[in-house]
Amino acid sequence: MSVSKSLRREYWTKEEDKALRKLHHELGPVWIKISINMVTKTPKQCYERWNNATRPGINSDPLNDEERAMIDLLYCDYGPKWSVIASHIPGRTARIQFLRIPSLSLTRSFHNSSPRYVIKPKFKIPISPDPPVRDSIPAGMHALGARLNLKFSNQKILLQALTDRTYVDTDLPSNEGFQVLGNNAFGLYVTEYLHVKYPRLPLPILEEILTMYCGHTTLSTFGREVGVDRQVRWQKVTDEALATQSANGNEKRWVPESNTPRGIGKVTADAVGAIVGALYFDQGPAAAKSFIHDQFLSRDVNVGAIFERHIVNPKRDLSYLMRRHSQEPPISRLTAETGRLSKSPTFIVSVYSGTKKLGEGFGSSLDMAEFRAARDALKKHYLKETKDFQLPSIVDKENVVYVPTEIEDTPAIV
Amino acid sequence: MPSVPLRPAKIAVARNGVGAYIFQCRKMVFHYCERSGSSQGMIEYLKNGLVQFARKNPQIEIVVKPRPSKHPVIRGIYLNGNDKVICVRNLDTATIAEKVHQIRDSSGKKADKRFKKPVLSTTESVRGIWSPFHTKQHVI
Repeated sequence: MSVSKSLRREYWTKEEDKALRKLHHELGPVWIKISINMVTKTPKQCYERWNNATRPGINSDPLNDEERAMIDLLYCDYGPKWSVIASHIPGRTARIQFLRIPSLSLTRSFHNSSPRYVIKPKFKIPISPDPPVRDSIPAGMHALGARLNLKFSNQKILLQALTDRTYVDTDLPSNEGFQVLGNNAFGLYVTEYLHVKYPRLPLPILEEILTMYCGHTTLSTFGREVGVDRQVRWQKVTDEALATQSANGNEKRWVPESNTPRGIGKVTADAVGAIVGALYFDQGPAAAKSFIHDQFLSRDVNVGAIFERHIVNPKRDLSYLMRRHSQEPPISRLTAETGRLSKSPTFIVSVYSGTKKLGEGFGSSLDMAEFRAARDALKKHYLKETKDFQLPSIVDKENVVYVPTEIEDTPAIV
Repeated sequence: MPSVPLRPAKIAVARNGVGAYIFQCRKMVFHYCERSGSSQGMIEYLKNGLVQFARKNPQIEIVVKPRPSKHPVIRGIYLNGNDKVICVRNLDTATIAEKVHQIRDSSGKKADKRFKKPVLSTTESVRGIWSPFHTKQHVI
Protein backbone atom coordinates (compact mmCIF):
# COMPACT_ATOMS: atom_id res chain seq x y z
CA MET A 1 0.00 0.00 0.00
CA SER A 2 1.71 3.17 -1.15
CA VAL A 3 0.95 6.64 0.05
CA SER A 4 -1.41 8.52 -2.19
CA LYS A 5 -0.20 11.75 -3.68
CA SER A 6 -2.78 13.83 -1.92
CA LEU A 7 -1.55 12.70 1.46
CA ARG A 8 2.13 13.07 0.67
CA ARG A 9 3.57 16.17 2.23
CA GLU A 10 7.30 16.86 2.16
CA TYR A 11 7.56 18.98 5.26
CA TRP A 12 8.26 16.93 8.37
CA THR A 13 6.38 17.86 11.52
CA LYS A 14 7.68 17.17 15.03
CA GLU A 15 5.14 14.43 15.50
CA GLU A 16 6.27 12.73 12.34
CA ASP A 17 9.90 12.89 13.42
CA LYS A 18 8.96 11.38 16.76
CA ALA A 19 6.98 8.63 15.08
CA LEU A 20 9.87 7.93 12.73
CA ARG A 21 12.25 7.53 15.62
CA LYS A 22 9.90 5.23 17.40
CA LEU A 23 9.22 3.09 14.36
CA HIS A 24 12.86 2.83 13.52
CA HIS A 25 13.57 1.68 17.03
CA GLU A 26 10.80 -0.93 16.79
CA LEU A 27 11.11 -2.16 13.23
CA GLY A 28 14.66 -1.42 12.32
CA PRO A 29 15.74 0.12 9.00
CA VAL A 30 12.90 -1.44 7.04
CA TRP A 31 11.60 1.62 5.31
CA ILE A 32 8.63 0.05 3.63
CA LYS A 33 7.19 -1.06 6.90
CA ILE A 34 7.96 2.25 8.53
CA SER A 35 6.24 4.07 5.69
CA ILE A 36 3.15 1.91 5.99
CA ASN A 37 2.93 2.70 9.63
CA MET A 38 3.69 6.36 9.11
CA VAL A 39 1.02 6.63 6.40
CA THR A 40 1.95 10.17 5.41
CA LYS A 41 5.44 9.57 4.10
CA THR A 42 6.91 7.37 1.38
CA PRO A 43 9.74 4.94 2.18
CA LYS A 44 12.26 7.06 0.36
CA GLN A 45 11.27 10.15 2.33
CA CYS A 46 11.61 8.25 5.58
CA TYR A 47 15.07 6.98 4.66
CA GLU A 48 16.34 10.40 3.68
CA ARG A 49 14.87 12.08 6.73
CA TRP A 50 16.46 9.51 8.99
CA ASN A 51 19.89 9.87 7.47
CA ASN A 52 19.90 13.63 7.19
CA ALA A 53 18.06 14.81 10.25
CA THR A 54 16.43 12.37 12.63
CA ARG A 55 19.03 9.72 13.42
CA PRO A 56 20.74 10.04 16.75
CA GLY A 57 23.94 11.95 16.66
CA ILE A 58 22.70 14.68 14.38
CA ASN A 59 22.60 18.11 15.86
CA SER A 60 19.58 19.92 14.49
CA ASP A 61 20.10 23.10 16.50
CA PRO A 62 21.15 26.24 14.68
CA LEU A 63 24.88 26.68 14.09
CA ASN A 64 26.82 28.20 16.96
CA ASP A 65 29.77 30.55 16.53
CA GLU A 66 32.40 27.87 16.95
CA GLU A 67 30.89 25.80 14.23
CA ARG A 68 30.55 28.80 11.94
CA ALA A 69 34.22 29.60 12.33
CA MET A 70 35.14 26.05 11.54
CA ILE A 71 32.94 26.03 8.45
CA ASP A 72 34.54 29.23 7.18
CA LEU A 73 38.04 27.82 7.61
CA LEU A 74 37.15 24.57 5.95
CA TYR A 75 35.44 26.42 3.11
CA CYS A 76 38.65 28.26 2.35
CA ASP A 77 40.33 24.87 1.93
CA TYR A 78 37.69 22.81 0.22
CA GLY A 79 35.26 25.22 -1.37
CA PRO A 80 31.59 24.28 -1.57
CA LYS A 81 32.11 20.61 -0.79
CA TRP A 82 29.65 20.35 2.04
CA SER A 83 29.77 16.69 2.84
CA VAL A 84 33.54 16.91 3.23
CA ILE A 85 33.26 19.95 5.46
CA ALA A 86 30.48 18.34 7.50
CA SER A 87 32.54 15.27 8.13
CA HIS A 88 34.96 17.48 10.10
CA ILE A 89 32.23 18.89 12.31
CA PRO A 90 30.66 16.48 14.80
CA GLY A 91 26.95 16.09 14.59
CA ARG A 92 26.53 17.87 11.27
CA THR A 93 25.64 16.76 7.76
CA ALA A 94 25.76 18.43 4.36
CA ARG A 95 22.65 20.34 5.38
CA ILE A 96 24.89 22.98 6.98
CA GLN A 97 24.94 24.70 3.58
CA PHE A 98 21.34 25.71 4.22
CA LEU A 99 21.91 26.65 7.83
CA ARG A 100 24.86 28.96 7.34
CA ILE A 101 24.69 32.56 6.22
CA PRO A 102 26.76 32.64 3.04
CA SER A 103 29.56 35.17 2.90
CA LEU A 104 30.37 36.71 -0.43
CA SER A 105 33.86 37.84 0.47
CA LEU A 106 34.67 34.34 1.63
CA THR A 107 33.37 32.84 -1.53
CA ARG A 108 35.36 35.29 -3.60
CA SER A 109 38.57 34.80 -1.68
CA PHE A 110 38.26 31.05 -2.02
CA HIS A 111 37.63 31.24 -5.71
CA ASN A 112 40.46 33.67 -6.28
CA SER A 113 42.97 31.54 -4.40
CA SER A 114 41.91 28.14 -5.61
CA PRO A 115 43.56 27.08 -8.84
CA ARG A 116 40.96 24.51 -9.63
CA TYR A 117 37.99 26.89 -9.79
CA VAL A 118 37.66 29.31 -12.73
CA ILE A 119 35.37 32.21 -12.03
CA LYS A 120 32.96 33.06 -14.82
CA PRO A 121 31.54 36.54 -14.35
CA LYS A 122 27.80 36.66 -14.71
CA PHE A 123 27.86 39.94 -16.60
CA LYS A 124 30.23 41.18 -19.28
CA ILE A 125 32.51 43.85 -17.95
CA PRO A 126 32.03 46.51 -20.61
CA ILE A 127 35.18 47.76 -22.28
CA SER A 128 34.16 51.37 -22.33
CA PRO A 129 35.53 53.23 -25.31
CA ASP A 130 37.49 56.39 -24.68
CA PRO A 131 35.01 59.14 -23.78
CA PRO A 132 34.32 61.15 -26.93
CA VAL A 133 36.22 64.38 -27.17
CA ARG A 134 33.94 67.36 -27.34
CA ASP A 135 33.20 68.36 -30.93
CA SER A 136 35.07 65.46 -32.46
CA ILE A 137 33.92 64.56 -35.94
CA PRO A 138 32.69 60.94 -36.12
CA ALA A 139 33.66 58.71 -39.02
CA GLY A 140 30.10 58.71 -40.33
CA MET A 141 30.19 62.47 -40.73
CA HIS A 142 33.36 62.34 -42.82
CA ALA A 143 31.65 59.70 -44.95
CA LEU A 144 28.58 61.93 -45.33
CA GLY A 145 30.73 64.82 -46.51
CA ALA A 146 32.38 62.62 -49.11
CA ARG A 147 29.04 61.16 -50.22
CA LEU A 148 27.59 64.61 -50.89
CA ASN A 149 30.86 65.81 -52.39
CA LEU A 150 31.15 68.64 -49.88
CA LYS A 151 34.59 70.20 -49.81
CA PHE A 152 34.83 72.64 -46.96
CA SER A 153 37.96 74.56 -46.02
CA ASN A 154 37.55 73.20 -42.48
CA GLN A 155 35.64 70.07 -41.43
CA LYS A 156 34.32 71.84 -38.35
CA ILE A 157 32.06 73.82 -40.64
CA LEU A 158 30.22 70.64 -41.56
CA LEU A 159 30.03 69.77 -37.86
CA GLN A 160 28.54 73.16 -37.13
CA ALA A 161 26.03 72.78 -39.94
CA LEU A 162 24.92 69.49 -38.37
CA THR A 163 24.65 70.91 -34.84
CA ASP A 164 21.04 71.73 -34.06
CA ARG A 165 20.13 74.53 -31.65
CA THR A 166 18.84 71.94 -29.15
CA TYR A 167 22.34 70.40 -28.76
CA VAL A 168 24.20 72.13 -25.94
CA ASP A 169 27.29 69.96 -25.29
CA THR A 170 29.37 71.84 -27.83
CA ASP A 171 31.68 74.82 -28.20
CA LEU A 172 30.44 75.49 -31.71
CA PRO A 173 27.53 77.81 -32.49
CA SER A 174 24.38 76.14 -33.74
CA ASN A 175 23.40 75.86 -37.37
CA GLU A 176 20.71 78.55 -37.21
CA GLY A 177 22.82 81.11 -39.04
CA PHE A 178 23.69 78.71 -41.84
CA GLN A 179 20.06 77.63 -41.98
CA VAL A 180 18.79 81.15 -42.67
CA LEU A 181 21.43 81.62 -45.37
CA GLY A 182 20.66 78.22 -46.89
CA ASN A 183 16.91 78.74 -46.98
CA ASN A 184 17.39 82.03 -48.78
CA ALA A 185 19.78 80.38 -51.22
CA PHE A 186 17.13 77.74 -51.91
CA GLY A 187 14.55 80.45 -52.45
CA LEU A 188 16.77 82.30 -54.90
CA TYR A 189 18.11 79.47 -57.03
CA VAL A 190 14.99 77.33 -57.26
CA THR A 191 12.69 80.28 -57.96
CA GLU A 192 14.87 81.70 -60.72
CA TYR A 193 15.15 78.26 -62.30
CA LEU A 194 11.38 77.70 -62.30
CA HIS A 195 10.60 81.21 -63.40
CA VAL A 196 12.92 81.05 -66.39
CA LYS A 197 12.05 77.49 -67.33
CA TYR A 198 8.25 77.98 -67.13
CA PRO A 199 7.80 81.66 -68.00
CA ARG A 200 3.99 81.57 -68.18
CA LEU A 201 3.36 79.61 -64.99
CA PRO A 202 0.59 81.08 -62.81
CA LEU A 203 1.74 82.17 -59.37
CA PRO A 204 -0.08 79.68 -57.09
CA ILE A 205 1.26 76.79 -59.15
CA LEU A 206 4.75 78.26 -59.11
CA GLU A 207 4.55 78.45 -55.32
CA GLU A 208 3.37 74.87 -55.04
CA ILE A 209 6.15 73.56 -57.25
CA LEU A 210 8.64 75.65 -55.28
CA THR A 211 7.46 73.95 -52.08
CA MET A 212 7.79 70.58 -53.71
CA TYR A 213 11.39 71.22 -54.64
CA CYS A 214 12.67 72.87 -51.48
CA GLY A 215 9.98 72.65 -48.82
CA HIS A 216 10.45 71.14 -45.39
CA THR A 217 9.20 67.69 -46.37
CA THR A 218 11.51 67.43 -49.35
CA LEU A 219 14.52 68.55 -47.38
CA SER A 220 13.87 66.06 -44.61
CA THR A 221 13.24 63.25 -47.13
CA PHE A 222 16.49 64.11 -48.86
CA GLY A 223 18.27 64.17 -45.51
CA ARG A 224 16.97 60.73 -44.67
CA GLU A 225 17.81 59.30 -48.11
CA VAL A 226 21.36 60.53 -47.82
CA GLY A 227 22.14 59.83 -44.16
CA VAL A 228 22.02 63.34 -42.68
CA ASP A 229 19.47 62.28 -40.06
CA ARG A 230 22.02 59.87 -38.58
CA GLN A 231 24.74 62.49 -38.24
CA VAL A 232 22.85 65.53 -37.03
CA ARG A 233 23.48 66.36 -33.37
CA TRP A 234 20.27 67.25 -31.58
CA GLN A 235 18.04 66.61 -28.59
CA LYS A 236 14.31 66.24 -28.34
CA VAL A 237 13.69 69.35 -26.28
CA THR A 238 11.22 72.21 -26.54
CA ASP A 239 12.60 75.66 -27.27
CA GLU A 240 11.25 76.90 -23.96
CA ALA A 241 13.15 74.24 -22.06
CA LEU A 242 16.23 75.14 -24.02
CA ALA A 243 15.87 78.80 -23.17
CA THR A 244 15.81 78.00 -19.47
CA GLN A 245 18.73 75.58 -19.80
CA SER A 246 22.02 77.40 -19.56
CA ALA A 247 23.47 77.45 -23.05
CA ASN A 248 27.21 77.65 -23.66
CA GLY A 249 27.20 81.36 -24.42
CA ASN A 250 24.36 82.40 -22.10
CA GLU A 251 22.70 83.87 -25.15
CA LYS A 252 19.06 84.68 -24.99
CA ARG A 253 17.40 82.21 -27.26
CA TRP A 254 14.36 83.29 -29.16
CA VAL A 255 11.33 81.31 -27.99
CA PRO A 256 8.86 80.68 -30.81
CA GLU A 257 5.14 80.65 -30.23
CA SER A 258 4.45 76.99 -30.84
CA ASN A 259 6.40 75.05 -28.29
CA THR A 260 6.14 71.43 -29.37
CA PRO A 261 9.52 69.73 -29.39
CA ARG A 262 10.93 69.49 -32.88
CA GLY A 263 11.21 65.98 -34.23
CA ILE A 264 13.92 64.36 -36.34
CA GLY A 265 12.13 65.37 -39.57
CA LYS A 266 12.27 69.11 -38.93
CA VAL A 267 15.74 68.86 -37.45
CA THR A 268 16.99 67.04 -40.56
CA ALA A 269 15.34 69.56 -42.86
CA ASP A 270 17.00 72.40 -40.97
CA ALA A 271 20.35 70.60 -41.11
CA VAL A 272 20.09 70.21 -44.89
CA GLY A 273 19.30 73.92 -45.21
CA ALA A 274 22.29 74.60 -42.99
CA ILE A 275 24.57 72.49 -45.19
CA VAL A 276 23.59 74.62 -48.19
CA GLY A 277 24.14 77.76 -46.15
CA ALA A 278 27.53 76.50 -45.03
CA LEU A 279 28.48 75.85 -48.65
CA TYR A 280 27.40 79.36 -49.60
CA PHE A 281 29.35 80.85 -46.71
CA ASP A 282 32.52 78.82 -47.11
CA GLN A 283 32.74 78.00 -50.81
CA GLY A 284 30.74 80.78 -52.40
CA PRO A 285 27.38 81.09 -54.15
CA ALA A 286 28.42 78.96 -57.14
CA ALA A 287 29.05 75.95 -54.91
CA ALA A 288 25.66 76.30 -53.21
CA LYS A 289 23.95 76.73 -56.58
CA SER A 290 25.53 73.63 -58.11
CA PHE A 291 24.65 71.62 -54.99
CA ILE A 292 21.02 72.69 -55.26
CA HIS A 293 20.91 71.96 -58.98
CA ASP A 294 22.53 68.54 -58.60
CA GLN A 295 20.62 67.31 -55.57
CA PHE A 296 17.25 69.04 -55.74
CA LEU A 297 16.47 70.38 -59.19
CA SER A 298 17.32 66.98 -60.65
CA ARG A 299 14.38 65.54 -58.73
CA ASP A 300 11.16 64.75 -60.50
CA VAL A 301 8.03 66.90 -60.25
CA ASN A 302 4.93 66.26 -62.36
CA VAL A 303 4.12 69.84 -63.27
CA GLY A 304 1.13 68.85 -65.42
CA ALA A 305 -0.53 66.98 -62.57
CA ILE A 306 -0.15 69.96 -60.22
CA PHE A 307 -1.60 72.30 -62.84
CA GLU A 308 -4.57 69.98 -63.40
CA ARG A 309 -5.37 70.01 -59.70
CA HIS A 310 -5.76 73.81 -59.78
CA ILE A 311 -8.16 73.87 -62.73
CA VAL A 312 -11.84 74.08 -61.92
CA ASN A 313 -13.45 75.50 -65.07
CA PRO A 314 -11.10 75.12 -68.03
CA LYS A 315 -13.57 76.21 -70.71
CA ARG A 316 -14.17 79.54 -69.00
CA ASP A 317 -10.46 80.07 -68.29
CA LEU A 318 -9.62 79.32 -71.92
CA SER A 319 -12.20 81.76 -73.25
CA TYR A 320 -10.85 84.54 -70.99
CA LEU A 321 -7.34 83.71 -72.15
CA MET A 322 -8.36 84.07 -75.81
CA ARG A 323 -10.09 87.35 -75.06
CA ARG A 324 -6.95 88.69 -73.38
CA HIS A 325 -4.82 87.79 -76.37
CA SER A 326 -7.42 89.27 -78.75
CA GLN A 327 -7.87 85.99 -80.52
CA GLU A 328 -11.02 84.35 -81.75
CA PRO A 329 -13.12 82.70 -79.04
CA PRO A 330 -12.49 78.97 -78.58
CA ILE A 331 -14.81 76.49 -80.31
CA SER A 332 -14.77 72.75 -79.65
CA ARG A 333 -15.23 70.34 -82.52
CA LEU A 334 -15.63 66.59 -82.48
CA THR A 335 -12.57 65.18 -84.21
CA ALA A 336 -13.17 61.46 -83.90
CA GLU A 337 -15.51 59.11 -82.14
CA THR A 338 -16.30 55.48 -81.70
CA GLY A 339 -18.96 53.45 -79.98
CA ARG A 340 -21.39 56.30 -79.28
CA LEU A 341 -24.28 53.99 -78.35
CA SER A 342 -22.14 51.29 -76.78
CA LYS A 343 -21.09 50.77 -73.19
CA SER A 344 -17.68 52.39 -73.64
CA PRO A 345 -17.75 55.21 -76.15
CA THR A 346 -14.67 57.27 -76.97
CA PHE A 347 -14.93 60.86 -78.15
CA ILE A 348 -12.00 62.97 -79.26
CA VAL A 349 -12.71 66.70 -79.11
CA SER A 350 -10.41 69.45 -80.32
CA VAL A 351 -10.57 73.10 -79.33
CA TYR A 352 -9.94 75.66 -82.04
CA SER A 353 -9.43 79.38 -82.07
CA GLY A 354 -10.35 80.15 -85.66
CA THR A 355 -8.35 77.63 -87.65
CA LYS A 356 -5.64 77.23 -85.05
CA LYS A 357 -5.92 74.08 -82.96
CA LEU A 358 -5.33 74.84 -79.26
CA GLY A 359 -5.80 71.49 -77.59
CA GLU A 360 -7.32 68.04 -77.72
CA GLY A 361 -9.00 65.77 -75.23
CA PHE A 362 -10.62 62.37 -75.09
CA GLY A 363 -13.46 61.12 -72.93
CA SER A 364 -16.31 58.67 -72.62
CA SER A 365 -18.80 61.54 -72.95
CA LEU A 366 -18.81 64.67 -75.08
CA ASP A 367 -18.67 66.96 -72.06
CA MET A 368 -15.77 65.03 -70.60
CA ALA A 369 -13.84 65.21 -73.83
CA GLU A 370 -14.55 68.95 -74.16
CA PHE A 371 -13.39 69.54 -70.61
CA ARG A 372 -10.18 67.71 -71.24
CA ALA A 373 -9.63 69.51 -74.53
CA ALA A 374 -9.93 72.91 -72.85
CA ARG A 375 -7.64 71.76 -70.05
CA ASP A 376 -5.10 70.51 -72.55
CA ALA A 377 -5.21 73.88 -74.30
CA LEU A 378 -4.53 75.68 -71.02
CA LYS A 379 -1.68 73.33 -70.20
CA LYS A 380 -0.08 73.85 -73.56
CA HIS A 381 -0.20 77.55 -73.00
CA TYR A 382 0.75 77.95 -69.36
CA LEU A 383 3.24 75.14 -69.04
CA LYS A 384 5.34 76.22 -71.96
CA GLU A 385 8.98 75.28 -71.27
CA THR A 386 12.00 77.25 -72.34
CA LYS A 387 14.66 74.88 -73.54
CA ASP A 388 17.92 76.79 -73.75
CA PHE A 389 18.20 79.44 -71.12
CA GLN A 390 20.67 81.23 -68.92
CA LEU A 391 19.84 81.83 -65.31
CA PRO A 392 20.25 85.35 -63.89
CA SER A 393 22.65 84.07 -61.21
CA ILE A 394 25.18 83.31 -63.92
CA VAL A 395 26.46 86.85 -63.48
CA ASP A 396 28.22 85.58 -60.33
CA LYS A 397 30.82 84.18 -62.68
CA GLU A 398 33.08 86.65 -64.36
CA ASN A 399 33.37 87.21 -68.12
CA VAL A 400 29.86 85.99 -68.81
CA VAL A 401 27.37 87.89 -70.90
CA TYR A 402 23.90 87.33 -69.56
CA VAL A 403 21.21 87.06 -72.21
CA PRO A 404 17.86 87.46 -70.47
CA THR A 405 14.85 85.44 -71.56
CA GLU A 406 11.70 87.22 -72.58
CA ILE A 407 9.31 88.00 -69.74
CA GLU A 408 5.95 86.53 -70.64
CA ASP A 409 2.47 87.79 -70.05
CA THR A 410 0.66 87.22 -66.72
CA PRO A 411 -2.18 84.70 -66.65
CA ALA A 412 -5.62 85.78 -67.78
CA ILE A 413 -7.67 87.13 -64.90
CA VAL A 414 -11.04 85.45 -64.63
CA MET B 1 -0.94 51.93 -65.12
CA PRO B 2 -2.27 55.46 -65.26
CA SER B 3 0.22 58.08 -66.32
CA VAL B 4 -1.00 60.49 -63.66
CA PRO B 5 -0.46 59.16 -60.10
CA LEU B 6 -3.70 58.47 -58.23
CA ARG B 7 -2.40 60.09 -55.07
CA PRO B 8 -0.35 63.14 -55.99
CA ALA B 9 3.17 63.29 -54.61
CA LYS B 10 3.80 66.04 -52.09
CA ILE B 11 7.53 66.13 -52.66
CA ALA B 12 9.90 66.04 -55.57
CA VAL B 13 10.90 62.41 -56.08
CA ALA B 14 14.60 61.57 -56.14
CA ARG B 15 16.27 60.39 -59.32
CA ASN B 16 19.68 59.16 -58.28
CA GLY B 17 22.22 59.86 -60.97
CA VAL B 18 20.25 62.41 -63.00
CA GLY B 19 21.96 65.24 -61.14
CA ALA B 20 24.44 63.97 -58.61
CA TYR B 21 24.92 60.31 -57.75
CA ILE B 22 24.57 59.35 -54.10
CA PHE B 23 26.60 56.28 -53.22
CA GLN B 24 24.29 53.75 -51.62
CA CYS B 25 26.68 51.84 -49.37
CA ARG B 26 27.20 53.96 -46.27
CA LYS B 27 29.03 51.67 -43.85
CA MET B 28 31.01 48.45 -43.79
CA VAL B 29 31.74 46.49 -40.63
CA PHE B 30 34.52 43.90 -40.60
CA HIS B 31 34.39 41.21 -37.93
CA TYR B 32 37.26 38.83 -37.31
CA CYS B 33 38.63 36.53 -34.62
CA GLU B 34 42.21 36.85 -33.37
CA ARG B 35 42.80 33.17 -32.84
CA SER B 36 40.68 31.08 -35.15
CA GLY B 37 42.02 29.72 -38.41
CA SER B 38 39.06 30.77 -40.56
CA SER B 39 39.98 34.42 -39.95
CA GLN B 40 43.53 34.22 -41.29
CA GLY B 41 42.64 35.49 -44.75
CA MET B 42 40.54 38.24 -43.23
CA ILE B 43 43.35 39.34 -40.91
CA GLU B 44 45.70 39.44 -43.89
CA TYR B 45 43.24 41.62 -45.79
CA LEU B 46 42.74 43.95 -42.84
CA LYS B 47 46.48 44.45 -42.55
CA ASN B 48 47.25 44.92 -46.22
CA GLY B 49 44.23 45.69 -48.36
CA LEU B 50 41.72 47.53 -46.22
CA VAL B 51 43.38 50.91 -45.74
CA GLN B 52 43.85 51.36 -49.48
CA PHE B 53 40.19 50.48 -50.05
CA ALA B 54 39.11 52.94 -47.35
CA ARG B 55 41.14 55.74 -48.92
CA LYS B 56 39.61 55.12 -52.32
CA ASN B 57 36.09 55.08 -50.88
CA PRO B 58 35.81 57.99 -48.43
CA GLN B 59 32.02 57.90 -48.61
CA ILE B 60 31.91 54.57 -46.77
CA GLU B 61 32.32 54.51 -43.00
CA ILE B 62 34.52 51.52 -42.17
CA VAL B 63 34.50 49.80 -38.79
CA VAL B 64 36.76 46.93 -37.75
CA LYS B 65 35.66 45.02 -34.71
CA PRO B 66 37.01 41.79 -33.23
CA ARG B 67 34.40 39.11 -32.72
CA PRO B 68 36.06 36.29 -30.83
CA SER B 69 35.28 32.66 -31.53
CA LYS B 70 33.14 33.45 -34.56
CA HIS B 71 33.79 33.23 -38.28
CA PRO B 72 34.91 36.41 -40.02
CA VAL B 73 32.10 38.41 -41.52
CA ILE B 74 31.72 41.55 -43.64
CA ARG B 75 28.51 43.52 -43.18
CA GLY B 76 27.58 46.26 -45.61
CA ILE B 77 24.89 48.74 -44.51
CA TYR B 78 23.02 50.80 -47.09
CA LEU B 79 21.10 54.04 -47.15
CA ASN B 80 17.77 52.30 -47.65
CA GLY B 81 18.25 50.53 -44.32
CA ASN B 82 19.06 47.09 -45.70
CA ASP B 83 22.26 45.26 -44.97
CA LYS B 84 24.29 42.59 -46.78
CA VAL B 85 26.23 40.14 -44.68
CA ILE B 86 28.90 37.91 -46.24
CA CYS B 87 30.76 35.30 -44.23
CA VAL B 88 34.35 35.12 -45.47
CA ARG B 89 35.55 32.12 -43.51
CA ASN B 90 38.58 30.37 -44.95
CA LEU B 91 38.82 32.72 -47.93
CA ASP B 92 42.08 34.15 -49.15
CA THR B 93 42.84 37.86 -49.42
CA ALA B 94 42.04 38.19 -53.13
CA THR B 95 38.62 36.58 -52.76
CA ILE B 96 37.85 38.73 -49.73
CA ALA B 97 38.73 41.80 -51.77
CA GLU B 98 36.22 40.64 -54.40
CA LYS B 99 33.53 40.29 -51.74
CA VAL B 100 34.33 43.75 -50.42
CA HIS B 101 33.92 45.20 -53.90
CA GLN B 102 30.68 43.27 -54.34
CA ILE B 103 29.26 44.82 -51.19
CA ARG B 104 30.44 48.28 -52.14
CA ASP B 105 28.88 48.13 -55.59
CA SER B 106 25.50 46.88 -54.41
CA SER B 107 22.54 49.23 -54.12
CA GLY B 108 21.16 47.58 -51.01
CA LYS B 109 17.98 46.44 -52.72
CA LYS B 110 17.04 42.83 -52.25
CA ALA B 111 16.89 40.46 -55.24
CA ASP B 112 14.95 42.20 -58.00
CA LYS B 113 12.33 39.94 -59.59
CA ARG B 114 11.04 42.28 -62.28
CA PHE B 115 12.36 40.33 -65.24
CA LYS B 116 9.88 41.41 -67.88
CA LYS B 117 9.88 45.17 -67.27
CA PRO B 118 13.08 46.02 -65.39
CA VAL B 119 13.01 49.76 -66.09
CA LEU B 120 10.90 51.89 -63.74
CA SER B 121 10.35 55.40 -65.07
CA THR B 122 8.12 58.40 -64.52
CA THR B 123 8.52 59.56 -68.13
CA GLU B 124 6.29 58.03 -70.76
CA SER B 125 7.52 56.94 -74.12
CA VAL B 126 9.27 59.48 -76.28
CA ARG B 127 7.06 59.14 -79.34
CA GLY B 128 3.79 58.69 -77.46
CA ILE B 129 1.48 55.72 -77.06
CA TRP B 130 -0.17 54.62 -80.32
CA SER B 131 -3.74 55.77 -80.84
CA PRO B 132 -6.08 54.64 -83.63
CA PHE B 133 -7.55 58.15 -83.89
CA HIS B 134 -4.27 59.78 -84.79
CA THR B 135 -3.19 57.59 -87.65
CA LYS B 136 -3.22 58.57 -91.29
CA GLN B 137 -6.50 57.50 -92.86
CA HIS B 138 -6.19 54.52 -95.16
CA VAL B 139 -7.02 55.56 -98.70
CA ILE B 140 -8.13 53.05 -101.24
